[in-house]
Amino acid sequence: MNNIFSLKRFGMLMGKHTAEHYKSYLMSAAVLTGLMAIIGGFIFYVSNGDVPPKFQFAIFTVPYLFCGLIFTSVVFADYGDRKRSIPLLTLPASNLEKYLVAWIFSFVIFQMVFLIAFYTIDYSLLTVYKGYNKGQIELLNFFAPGYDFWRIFFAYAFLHSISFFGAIFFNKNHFVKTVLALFVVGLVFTLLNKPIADLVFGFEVVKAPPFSDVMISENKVDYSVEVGSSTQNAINYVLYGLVLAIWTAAYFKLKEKEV
Amino acid sequence: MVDISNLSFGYDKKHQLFENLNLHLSRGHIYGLLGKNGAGKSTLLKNLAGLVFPKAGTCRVNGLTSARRLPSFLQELFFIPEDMHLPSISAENYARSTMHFYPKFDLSLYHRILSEFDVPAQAVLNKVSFGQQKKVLIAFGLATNTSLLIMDEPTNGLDIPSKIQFRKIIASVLTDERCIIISTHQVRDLDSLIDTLLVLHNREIVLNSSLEQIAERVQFTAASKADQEAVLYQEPNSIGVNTISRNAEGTYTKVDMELLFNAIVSDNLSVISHLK
Repeated sequence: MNNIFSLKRFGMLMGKHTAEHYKSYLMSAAVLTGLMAIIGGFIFYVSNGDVPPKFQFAIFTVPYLFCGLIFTSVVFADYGDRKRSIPLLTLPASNLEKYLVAWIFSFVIFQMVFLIAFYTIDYSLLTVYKGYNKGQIELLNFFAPGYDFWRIFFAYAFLHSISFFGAIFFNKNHFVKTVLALFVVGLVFTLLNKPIADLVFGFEVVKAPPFSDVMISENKVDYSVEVGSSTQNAINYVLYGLVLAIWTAAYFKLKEKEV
Repeated sequence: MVDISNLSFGYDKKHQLFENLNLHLSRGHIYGLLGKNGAGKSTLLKNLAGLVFPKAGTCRVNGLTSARRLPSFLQELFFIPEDMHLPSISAENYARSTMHFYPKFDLSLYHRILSEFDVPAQAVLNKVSFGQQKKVLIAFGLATNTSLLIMDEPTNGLDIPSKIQFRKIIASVLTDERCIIISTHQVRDLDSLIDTLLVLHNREIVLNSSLEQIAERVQFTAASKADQEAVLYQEPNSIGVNTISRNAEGTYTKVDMELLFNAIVSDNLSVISHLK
């Protein structure tokens, strides 16, 4: 018997999870669709249907990240409750299989459902307001040349990893505690970044927000110092690595979970 | 099949619940685990099921370390906790979505036990009473046919007819391949059910003996019938005094578990040492 991963067992676990949660998931998807219809409908109404792709992107981004963060933060909620965690932890499936079920629902399925809901609402609204746009429908394309819309998926992955770890790390109030922890870490980064930049540059810089350009001043003229493209790539790889590391940490936290 | 070796555990460093606890349990027996409130019965069972991890020592079931929670370990163990949560699906669908994880699951046995407990298979689990939920979980646990079945306070929430039914059902499903551990603080619920008594007291297992062995060594009689020189423990009740005395004559009496338990938890060393 493979104690690490079995496709058959994993399929059974997905089936069990779906059978026990599909009602609440369907309700959540309906609420999400309704919410986007209201937000999108309002924006289309006030702008007389003149909503180019970059505005559609704005309509997409806020509920995408916010709802994703909320949904992911409760994906391990049952493991924080003594009564609910016992049948989960003693169910004959490996820790990896249990982890993957939560990961697939919160990362893959959530994004699929969200994209379907978004494009359904977006296309419907664009169709309704077609007359105002000279009969043209221009749907949001995340990979449109000249735009960096696709980066939002990486932002989701980053927030997902943090929320996913918070979901298994905290036993109660997962969302609030995760967001609070995120703020605290962000604040510490922001406060420490400038003194570190001062040390690196050897003089006092004007400002140095984390993961961004550094502003320096010379002869009362401000200059923005940005990293070269190869260094930016290296930073991106570090961030991708960080996401993978946080996902991995969540796995080990699940493995060590006690009642 | 269950081997606990030098187990030490505590929820914090200062207060150890167990220290160097050793226990060996075999298949083909129904063990009754007794202990005072807070003695650590549930915690010991959680250690066995891999729900908490030992601070020192090992806890193995079928040769597999509990704390690793491997599927091969888990598919041979079913744990019925004192408090439970069941999903909002019917008893039938619960079995259909979960039974495949247990290779020896017997669906007809599950239906039979549900029927004996008078629980409809279409009952939605989170809409029925606590007692009904417990019956579903007991029926499911028994139908899994796992080699180790752990029940923590299984009779809590059951009415008197259901307790009688419970005893009958448990006795009917015991095979030479199964080991059943029942923890309870309601000693009378174990009457005519268990064959081996485990008593957890003062951070260790102070008694691990079959009822037959206990009856061989001590007698349970009224004070008037007891040999006063052989009496190890006595306890007044509403109609007289009950005693535990050395069984010098080889006369077998029914083990009064409640009296024995009281003797042990009142730190009666003569009873404990005589039974060891």
